[in-house]
Amino acid sequence: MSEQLGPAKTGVPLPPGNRRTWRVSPPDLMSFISAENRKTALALFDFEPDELENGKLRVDLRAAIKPIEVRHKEAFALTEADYYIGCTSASIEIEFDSDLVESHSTGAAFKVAYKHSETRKRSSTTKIEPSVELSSAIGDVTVSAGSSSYEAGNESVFETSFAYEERDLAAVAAGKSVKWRFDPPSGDKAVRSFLFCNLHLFAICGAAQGRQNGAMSIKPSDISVFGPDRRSFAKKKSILLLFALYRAKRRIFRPRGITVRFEEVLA
Amino acid sequence: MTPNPENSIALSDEERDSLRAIAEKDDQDIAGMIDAAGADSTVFANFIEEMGCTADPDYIQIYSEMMAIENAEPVGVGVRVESVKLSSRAAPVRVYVGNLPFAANETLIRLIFERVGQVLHVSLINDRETGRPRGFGFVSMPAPDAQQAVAVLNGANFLGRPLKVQVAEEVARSSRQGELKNN
Repeated sequence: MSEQLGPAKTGVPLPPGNRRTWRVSPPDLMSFISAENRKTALALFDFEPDELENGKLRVDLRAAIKPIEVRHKEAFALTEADYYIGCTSASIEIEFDSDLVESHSTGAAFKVAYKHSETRKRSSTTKIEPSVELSSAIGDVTVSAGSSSYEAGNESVFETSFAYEERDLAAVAAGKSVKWRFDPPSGDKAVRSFLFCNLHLFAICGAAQGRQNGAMSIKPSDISVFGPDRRSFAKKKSILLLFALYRAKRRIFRPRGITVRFEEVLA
Repeated sequence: MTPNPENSIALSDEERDSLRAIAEKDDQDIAGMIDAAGADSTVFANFIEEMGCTADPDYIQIYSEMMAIENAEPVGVGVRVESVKLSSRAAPVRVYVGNLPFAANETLIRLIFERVGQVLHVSLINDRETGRPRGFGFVSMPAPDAQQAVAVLNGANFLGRPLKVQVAEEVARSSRQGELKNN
């Protein structure tokens, strides 16, 4: 049996330099899911928490929104896929249980082939563990296997890049949460291609005293099937193409999106 | 160059042909596309649930058309009933139908109830302020058909939710009052 999860917030300051560990459930972060699930996912993310020198908690999110390529088994790797399953909009949200969001990535307009890289030095050492609930005859237990560690002083590189068509990113912070949403630009310009991007987002919440728990989600919307020219099929045709794949047991991983809860482990 | 990159779904010949058959249909030929994809409303209902599209009118329209195309007599999801032929001369009775998903519409409810008996009228209730469906409605049917609808459809799985079907309370109440007067 592993350590117990701490209460949402104890109010007891943690010693500086303390190694902090969060457990995520379900373990659907990019780092932890299988290669097969990564292949058939439309939107994925990882997160990297860092206790700043002023005691606040910064959480960096690395999100990837991508199409699923569908091609004949004998097609070559560098050829266009026969079909792409993709989404044209998406949203990402983080919510802390206890503290208010004080700062976060703001909205932006991403142009075609936008690329930006950011490097920041970490203040603290943190570890993320997947949490897996198992049921057995002797009761329910929580186990963890594998983890992601982030060391103080090391540099983390975050990349934001967009391909194909532009999108607007809007950010709305409300108390303990912040939600980012990608949509096609307003106006009459028709966006017909799928989202294909890496994205770096961050949120900083108030005093990182005690344990900081919360939840994060990434949700693709307007899922469609696209042709090799990256133009979407008509809506009902797209639905029936997806259905034909579903009947053939070619399933999309978490088509309604991924939501994970993170809880700090009591040392 | 290596065939079949690991980061893509690799289609078999049969799967490729199946997708191609759908893709090549005219966009307006819904029945043709359903035929190419395979009409199976039970599986389609599960698919809608998994995709989280129970409120999407396009998904629901395809589901509705699939139900109409199937020769079998499906009721909701995973429920099949024998053909029922009952008298339609009796006085109409209002049947309450509840626990409806947002995706439900009058056409779909009519399709389901017509598998059991004659449907005279369908009315789903919306919230006065928001206009959003409140998850219930009423179906008018001849009395024997209404009884049959309650017997067959109450608890039937419809888009992942068990339908609640019963003779509308006000009808039952007036019926009870009538019995008291007669006594």
